[in-house]
Amino acid sequence: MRIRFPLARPLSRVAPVAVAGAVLLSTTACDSQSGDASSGSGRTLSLAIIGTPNSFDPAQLVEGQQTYVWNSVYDTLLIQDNEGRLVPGAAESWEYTDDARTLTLRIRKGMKFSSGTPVTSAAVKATLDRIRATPGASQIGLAAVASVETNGDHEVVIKLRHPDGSLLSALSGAPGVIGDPKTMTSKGSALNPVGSGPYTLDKGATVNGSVYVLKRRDDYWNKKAYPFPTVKVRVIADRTAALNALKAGEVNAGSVEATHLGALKSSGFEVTNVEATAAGVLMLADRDGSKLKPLGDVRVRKAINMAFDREKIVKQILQGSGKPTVQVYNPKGDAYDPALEKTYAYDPAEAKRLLAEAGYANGFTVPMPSLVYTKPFEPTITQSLKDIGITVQWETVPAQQTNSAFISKKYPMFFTMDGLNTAPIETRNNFSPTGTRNVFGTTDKRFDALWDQANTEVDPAAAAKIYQKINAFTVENAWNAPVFYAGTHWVTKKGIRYLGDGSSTFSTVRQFGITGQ
Amino acid sequence: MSSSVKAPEPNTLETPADTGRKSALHTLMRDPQAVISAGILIVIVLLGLLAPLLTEHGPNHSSLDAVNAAPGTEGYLLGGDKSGRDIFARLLNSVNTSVVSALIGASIALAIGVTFGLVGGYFGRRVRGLTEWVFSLIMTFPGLLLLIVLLPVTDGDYRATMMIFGVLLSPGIYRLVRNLVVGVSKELYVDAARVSGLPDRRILSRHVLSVVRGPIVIAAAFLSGSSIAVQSGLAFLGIGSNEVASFGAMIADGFTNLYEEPLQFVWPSLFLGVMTASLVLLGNALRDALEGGRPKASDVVGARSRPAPAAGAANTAATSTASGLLVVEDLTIAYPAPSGELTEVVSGVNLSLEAGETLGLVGESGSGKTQTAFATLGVLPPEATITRGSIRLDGRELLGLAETELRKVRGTSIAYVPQEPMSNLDPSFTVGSQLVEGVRAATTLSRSEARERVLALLQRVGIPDPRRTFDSYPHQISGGMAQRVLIAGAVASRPLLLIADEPTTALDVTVQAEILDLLRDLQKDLNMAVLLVTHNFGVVADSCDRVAVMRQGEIVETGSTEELFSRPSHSYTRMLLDSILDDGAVRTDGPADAVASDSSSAVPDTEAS
Amino acid sequence: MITYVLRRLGTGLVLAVLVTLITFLLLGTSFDDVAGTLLGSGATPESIQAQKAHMGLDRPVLTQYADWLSHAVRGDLGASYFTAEPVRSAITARLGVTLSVVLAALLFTAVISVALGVLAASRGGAVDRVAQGASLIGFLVPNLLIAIALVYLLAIKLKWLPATGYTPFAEDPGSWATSIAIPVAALMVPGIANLSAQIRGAMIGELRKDYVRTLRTRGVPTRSIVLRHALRNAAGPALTVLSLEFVQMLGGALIIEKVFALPGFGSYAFDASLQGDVPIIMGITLFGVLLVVCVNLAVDLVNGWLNPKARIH
Repeated sequence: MRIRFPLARPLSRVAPVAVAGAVLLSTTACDSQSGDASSGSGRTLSLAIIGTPNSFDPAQLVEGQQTYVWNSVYDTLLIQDNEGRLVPGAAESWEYTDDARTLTLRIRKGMKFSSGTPVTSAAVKATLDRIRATPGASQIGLAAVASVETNGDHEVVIKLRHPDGSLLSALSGAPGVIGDPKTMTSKGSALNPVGSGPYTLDKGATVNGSVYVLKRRDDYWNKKAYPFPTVKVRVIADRTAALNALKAGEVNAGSVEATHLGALKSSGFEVTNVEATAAGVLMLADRDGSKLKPLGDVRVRKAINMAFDREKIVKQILQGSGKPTVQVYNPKGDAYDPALEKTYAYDPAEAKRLLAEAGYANGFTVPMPSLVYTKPFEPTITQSLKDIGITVQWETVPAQQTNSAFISKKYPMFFTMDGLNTAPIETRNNFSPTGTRNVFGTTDKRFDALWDQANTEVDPAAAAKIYQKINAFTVENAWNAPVFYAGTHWVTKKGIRYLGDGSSTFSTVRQFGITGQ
Repeated sequence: MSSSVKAPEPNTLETPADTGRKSALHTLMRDPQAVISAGILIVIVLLGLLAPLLTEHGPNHSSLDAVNAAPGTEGYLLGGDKSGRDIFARLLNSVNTSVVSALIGASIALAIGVTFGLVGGYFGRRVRGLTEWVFSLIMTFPGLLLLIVLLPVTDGDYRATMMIFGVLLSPGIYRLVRNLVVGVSKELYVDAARVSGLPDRRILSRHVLSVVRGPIVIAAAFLSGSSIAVQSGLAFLGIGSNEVASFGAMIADGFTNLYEEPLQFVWPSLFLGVMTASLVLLGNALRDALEGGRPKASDVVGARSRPAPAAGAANTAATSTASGLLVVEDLTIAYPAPSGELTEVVSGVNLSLEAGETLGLVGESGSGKTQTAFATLGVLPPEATITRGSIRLDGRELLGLAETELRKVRGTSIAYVPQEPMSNLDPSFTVGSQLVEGVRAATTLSRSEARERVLALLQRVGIPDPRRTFDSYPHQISGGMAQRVLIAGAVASRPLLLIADEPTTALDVTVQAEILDLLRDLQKDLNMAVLLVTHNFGVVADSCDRVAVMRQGEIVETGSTEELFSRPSHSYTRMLLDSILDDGAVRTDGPADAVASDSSSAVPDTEAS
Repeated sequence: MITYVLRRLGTGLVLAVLVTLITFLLLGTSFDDVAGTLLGSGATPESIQAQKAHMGLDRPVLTQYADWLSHAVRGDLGASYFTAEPVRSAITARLGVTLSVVLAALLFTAVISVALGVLAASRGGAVDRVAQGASLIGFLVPNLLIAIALVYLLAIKLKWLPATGYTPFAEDPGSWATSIAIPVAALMVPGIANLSAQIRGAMIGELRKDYVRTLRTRGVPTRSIVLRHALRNAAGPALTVLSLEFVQMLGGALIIEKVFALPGFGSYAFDASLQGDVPIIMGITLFGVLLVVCVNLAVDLVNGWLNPKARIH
């Protein structure tokens, strides 16, 4: 059995600051001679995803499972490989200035949009400018960008208002796509995108909201990373329906619930378990205690952290599909520190003592938003907190109000299940003063100092050490109460393999490969 | 109140089942379907109410040790769900949620729908236009969408959601009630009540509401069912609070766990199914009880004579000397009483009728004369039983004949003119098509020949514009016209025997005489024998050769009309005759014999008892 | 007659305007949420305001409605906030899916219910008990369970029918039929249970009426009495039930669509509502209203044909 990895050579972790794209180029140059890529020809990847992809307008792309579709149509400047590293994409190399305020990207030559127009630095600039100017989910990723300039046809210079450690990660995602300037402002591109990516969307076979059919481009520079000539992405929201579709052979890859695994064993499927793809975190957002005074006391926050029997929650509620944790960072990533896991053992008695010490012997009451995804965990959260004297009042929040409910500052605590991301982005979202999950905008001088360091550090290895410090700081001060990592079970028909291991949680068809015939 | 006895009894006639509404509950108690479904519902509701006593854990108590616990685990009768909650406790609390949903949804829908249905159906165009419009507005509102869009308003509280759902359900009830009321308010008796000056409110509550009551009751059961279903459906979709136990939420949880822990799916599904099914069955049973009679489905063909060889043989032997076109001997008809025993309504009746003769069968209502007539026609209601006796037509025994044989006899040899002309015409077909169908069933005539014959007959029975009447629907012609049409239908196949059951009672006084004249003329023309069932001695005197007087299911006296009028031998006959003379009204129409001219054609008060 | 239909359709349009207006006003309270959802987890109060301004959601609600209406009149229902799919074509495509399933289910429901109801009412005895038993099972067993059982047996084990998905009729009628077979079966079970009970009741009522006896005395065959006369008179109430069943199935289709991953109207409406995708919700409301107006009109016309008394002149 052979496994074809999309990127042939692991790239050095130590010096990705100005990674030469030559290695990659040389591998792709072999395309014509290898014939290996075509050994999978005729094979179709039929992938079940949960949600309907949004608009394909480059400025409106949303990350998540729908990335499978748009990431196949568009190139991104950088690529997050299956090991979670940032490697060259449309930009064959990049470079920060020492003050981390200017980023220069060199665009790969010879790339073409599916319309035939060549990909140039002007197209990159046009897309970046459009994303910056258009309200949308990608805008926040480019918030630090002051200007984008071109230098010749193949060089883009991005000037920043302030150093941003998460910018490179962002450029490997939705904010880093390249759209065809000729078409991207037209209405049609939202449904019929023109990109330079490995696939084109087959409009004839695609049924919006139901099935998206992707045809591979023969002239793609990195064709080898995409062994499937055709990819069908089917939207199946119901989990049992997805299981049925797998069993009936209507899709050949998809993720299933842990409880469904039993029904799939012994029937020609390969199961790949990714231990951590999302974190279940009880956000203690009001850590200044402005709305709920007790939360301002670190003893209370620590007590809350001790209220959860994390091992048991993972074993029982997640059916073992996950991992107990007190951290929010990807356990396969740079910032994670296994030693921190011992910080808060399950100890309701100690928790009660801490609460009493803080002056809350009789506990307190806290409203929390009941959301679609919190439902399975509500009984346990309620019970766990009740056991140490804290009463939770769940308030039903309709799905469409999830984000506005958080932002409203109505809820000093809330439970989130966010997909894992890279350390800079996790730090930005969860802890930075303007972080989207830091809805009360709380901060701390010690944190600010670390955050500044991280942003100005252009060497990834050095930056990783800083993120570890940030992690340790937030865990020790109980800024949140993380409970578990939730895993994903990828199920593929024999012959297809899920190549990821959780290092990268980016949803791309590069994570699917063909096993030996 | 001498006119009140005229109320027709179209369905139940003189059966003992017609004991009135007070027995609705009684009937219900005897209906196993009602008892069982109500019993199940009561048990389920009780289980819900007693939940705190029956379960060890609260519905939201969660223990990580109980996650997916097996049924029978200590303290977890049915095991634990995937969040570690007691399935049994959640089931019982889901019952409460369902009951509350059903009560809220159904009562709001009914309150709104029935009120406006009555108003919209009964009052004139303008009111109806308005209600119609408002309910169309409600009906066109995409319900589920509204419930979802209004989530911020309802805060996901299922009770608030059910209130809105109740409003959304109301157009269905409104339409149902309105349609029924529109139908009813065109009925004669409502017109009569209106003409007699009864206030609208009284008419609505007495005449109209009683008609729509049955359908409303069954609809209420369905409404409760759909409220429960929608509440569950929304919970299944994850809308609403997690803390409110609900079958829907339980089913959704069980559904994801279906392949591993199928019982988690089965229990709530089963409870939900049993609850909704019981509601529907109870609704059906309730309606049956309220609408009176015994509305069990039964073979259309209806009653069969129960062979009673010993008695039948003996009686036949004893009286078989009688001869004539129609010979009825020892005819005994019984109905099952609510207790299940058979009660005789006709006992040992003997009658005979020669060709071309007219026999009046006289008696008060409930005396069994109509039952005797129906037995002769072979159209007794399904629950009737002929326990003994014999009915021969031209020497041929009719009792025990197969339906197909009887049908041939009915079409060609015996015909029937009913009491109430309107209800005896199918409202959905034109007069002509109904008559043609009858003619074609009884003869071998082609469609066009049958049509010609019907048109000729309509002319013959005195209808001024036969073609127009032919193409009219029953509601477009008058009662007198309708009776002429029915007579035309009866004589179309030139029968040997015509059975006319109170053919004039439902008609205006002026029309009565014309109809009687018509019957007499036709009898002469066609040389038919006529069995004239009536309670009116005036009619008897007018038309009959001989008279049989019936009382409480038995013939008390038979004789020629003249004889009977001049020398009534039975005290009952005398009493009947006296009551006519007391009335003293004098006939004003047509020729008649001496006695008849004294008698009243108005309804005598003989039946008030 | 034509004026009557036109008048009804005219009122339908007025209704449509009113209902869409009310819907829009109700939605007006949630524009913040839409913007927040669009921005995903990156939403901040500032970006939400910018997003709203970008989408024109910061204007007065009535202005926005007038804007929507003026476009709608010209057949432009806008495009989804999320997928940018034009609403009109999106809805017609999904309506095709749902109507395929619902109309097929309705047809089978009607045919089977009439057969069951008529048989039960006119034969009584064992036939009645069997028919009532079947209807009872329909109530007892949740259609979700029936759906899953059918999927397991017919799709997963025997592989005769697809477990999920939909093929348009125009593409391949055979695949179309197989793709809706199980959803239709699952959807019609409760409908049959309900309708057959109603028809049975109505038929029993009709068969006890005087005109039935009179027809019998004229020698009219039983079959004709049951099927021509009684059934026609019982059809009015049954039709009303059927039209309600239709509206209910449109809603009930939602769960079925989810379970079978059918890209239908119901799940589209549901998802749009959860996201607060205003143009789609408005489009669906409009289509929904027009659909119900047309169905009601059709029912009233058929009712008039069935029942001469209620006929419109």
